[in-house]
Amino acid sequence: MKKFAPLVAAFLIGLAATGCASITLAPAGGYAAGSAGYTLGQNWSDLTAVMPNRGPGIHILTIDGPLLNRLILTDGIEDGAPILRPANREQRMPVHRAGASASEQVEFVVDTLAVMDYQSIEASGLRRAARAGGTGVLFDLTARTPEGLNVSGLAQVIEVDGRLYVAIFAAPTEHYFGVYQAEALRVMESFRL
Amino acid sequence: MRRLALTAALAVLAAGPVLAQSRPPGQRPDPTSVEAGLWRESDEMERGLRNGGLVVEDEALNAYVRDVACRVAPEYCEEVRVYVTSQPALNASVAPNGMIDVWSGLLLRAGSEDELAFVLGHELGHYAENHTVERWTNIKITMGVTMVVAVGVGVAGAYYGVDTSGFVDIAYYGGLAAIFSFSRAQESQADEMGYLRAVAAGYDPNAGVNLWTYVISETAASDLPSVRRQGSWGSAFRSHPLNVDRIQALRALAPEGETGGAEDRHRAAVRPFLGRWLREDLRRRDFGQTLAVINRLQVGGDDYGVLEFYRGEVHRLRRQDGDVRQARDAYARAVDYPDAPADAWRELGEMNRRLGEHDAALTAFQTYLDRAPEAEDRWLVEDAISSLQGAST
Repeated sequence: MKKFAPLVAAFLIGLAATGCASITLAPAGGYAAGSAGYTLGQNWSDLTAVMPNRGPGIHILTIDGPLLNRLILTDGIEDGAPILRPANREQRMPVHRAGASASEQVEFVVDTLAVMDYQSIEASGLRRAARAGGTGVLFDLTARTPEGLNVSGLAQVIEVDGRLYVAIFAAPTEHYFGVYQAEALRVMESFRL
Repeated sequence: MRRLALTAALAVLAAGPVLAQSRPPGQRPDPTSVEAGLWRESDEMERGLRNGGLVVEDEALNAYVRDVACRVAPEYCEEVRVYVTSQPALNASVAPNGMIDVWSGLLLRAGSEDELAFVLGHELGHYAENHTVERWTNIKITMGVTMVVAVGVGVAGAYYGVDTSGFVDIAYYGGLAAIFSFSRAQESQADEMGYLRAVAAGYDPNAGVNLWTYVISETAASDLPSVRRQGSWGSAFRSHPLNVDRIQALRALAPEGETGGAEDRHRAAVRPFLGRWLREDLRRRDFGQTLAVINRLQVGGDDYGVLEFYRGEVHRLRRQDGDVRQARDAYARAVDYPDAPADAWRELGEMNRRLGEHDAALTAFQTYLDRAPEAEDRWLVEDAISSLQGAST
């Protein structure tokens, strides 16, 4: 029995931990991703507590489920920090770098999506985004999942005092992206500190 | 009791290998057989692969790879399907139903058509020899024997009142070691078949040696200690032989001093994908390995503008001491060649800006705008130019 004690302990700790983590409602109105504030135009589900591999300060919202639409909102990412936590000790993640050019900030988002297994990711339609006293870029995304589903997206990177605030919305091109694109854009435009 | 453990391990190790017969061309498995079940699984996998987002759907590239496969295995040409998939590691695989998956990382690294022919010959060797069926049968028998031995040891322990749990573990480890040993034997056999098939088709007998020699050097160049260790650590639980052993076995097959090789179509076939595949390789963030790939691709002196641009990208992304300067120098070399992408000028400008060389940065940014007037990021570069001009006044 002594042999199983660590296993039992791990199981109980796991059970306790999963008891704490759950999907919550993110109601229409103000939403805080750490120091970053956004306004949601409708109710979203907040998956932050149950999504694995997210880095500190990363929030994940969805309406119909993460495979059908997901909105990633970050607190200010510091120099050297990733959006996703590495799956193992040696996995190297794309990280934000202070002093990165705007092109590199866009590349940071694209490379992060590649780690999430999106294929053939393309960023296009780069446009200026000046919000909350910071400057940045708003851009469109297209990609495919490994299963062949076409995905469209929107992303925004805003740098304020060396910290990068990222918002990414991704949804299947068919139906879902069109339905929630305007809402996602409004959320991104509402960014404030 | 020690004798019991030794007997247990030997019994398990003696269980394999069980050899299936070679496959005649066009053979379909008996629908009630185990092989038919494996085919159905493979058919399912193939449907997923075909509809998924990994397949590179380029007619010319696929025709080239398929042609090489048909040259090394003309008897199976009608029944195998070759897919090129966008996956950055050096790998290829074959399923029992004839689905061959060639990873872009292999096409990027293969130094010649001969090397690709050797790998495809290796995979078609697995197919011809029914290795998946053999492996499945081996696993089933080995695990069965292991279980019988483990139960026997357990019963004997109970009868004699001795704790035999350690010996049961030894039996299971012995079983696993036997399965991996069988796998290594199959890989060695496939190497030999790959060699024979490639040489029979007129390809260079040294192609396999050249490829594995390169793989050793790329493994040694990795930034990651665990990857570097993989290259030299032998283990009873490896699925493939060590590359040094593979080289030795292939050298023993190749007649001394014999060289050869077909007209090399390889670089022309992969050229349109060099930038895309190097970008995907960079995303692995093993910069030492990507530099090794670039160095290999540069040996023939082709595609210098593209390759120096990606050398610059390695240094830009790596961000170690001296990397800004090394990136700048690589971009500067790239733009001397007509095949350099316009992005090389933008990055040359950015690196010069970081080095405080504002005039050079302005010139490079302006050249980028001249060369890519419709660029999506035009306004970003114009901002950078304005900011530099503001700093100079």
